[in-house]
Amino acid sequence: MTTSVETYRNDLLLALRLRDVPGPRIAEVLAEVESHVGETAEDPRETFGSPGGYAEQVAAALGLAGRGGLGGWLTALRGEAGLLGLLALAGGWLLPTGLFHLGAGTTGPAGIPATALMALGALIWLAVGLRLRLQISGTADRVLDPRTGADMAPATPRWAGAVSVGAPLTGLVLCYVLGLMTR
Amino acid sequence: MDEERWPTEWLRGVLELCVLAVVAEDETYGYAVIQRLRAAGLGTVKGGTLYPVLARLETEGLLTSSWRDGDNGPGRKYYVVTPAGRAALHDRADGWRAFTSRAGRLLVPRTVDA
Repeated sequence: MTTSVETYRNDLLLALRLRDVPGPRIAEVLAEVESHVGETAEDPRETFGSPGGYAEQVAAALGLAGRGGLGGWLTALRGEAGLLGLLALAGGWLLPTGLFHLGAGTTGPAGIPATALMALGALIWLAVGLRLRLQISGTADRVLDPRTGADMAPATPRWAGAVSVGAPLTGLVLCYVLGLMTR
Repeated sequence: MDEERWPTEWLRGVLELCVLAVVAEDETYGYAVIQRLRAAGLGTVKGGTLYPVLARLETEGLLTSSWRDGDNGPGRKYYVVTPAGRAALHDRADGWRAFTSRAGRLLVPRTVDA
């Protein structure tokens, strides 16, 4: 089975990110793979091994060994990403709960008004969203192609943006409707 | 013995030194290093093995690298040895030759005494 260079590159980028390899080093590694495979027409998986395995080697050379796989995800969760995830979950409970009670015309748990639950949830989501936006647009650790200076992170497809906004919105509307149905 | 099938641990021991020697011969790039090692009879080194070695040598300050446009490809990363790299090659190559000569003396075929 042959792997397309693009697929391999994107998988490798994620695997290197997961192991906390700095952006400039990731860019070098991706450019090396592209340049090598472009020259030899070899299957990247054949000559560099699995993206996870190669990322492990690159990380080990930088003294960042043992961060991949489940361990890597767990390490990532302990940091800021973990806190943001917890906050997003809290917002993801408060906002729909508030909407449900608004629909049902009742007060929320512990007698908290539905609007207060919603406001708190929305505020948390806004803060998390702003922080994420800042992280993405930050230039500190971007993966810039050493050959052209172009951003090497894969472009997010249009539908992914639509789904990431549309799915939660649909869920929220559904919560409100469910609340209404209990009247 | 088939030259392409040396035990991998033999190559692992000397690969860094051989890569440094190849770059010290002339400015070169990844795939050309692989071809040079193969031509020298050391077998085929994979990209996944070579590039981390080059990166390590560069981190040690023994090589420097720069990206340049290829003939019609996506650009190549060229490596040049530094003065520190040349000095390290000189010292380490001396050490390696002494080591292999001692091992060689131990490995001379002998007739077994009855």
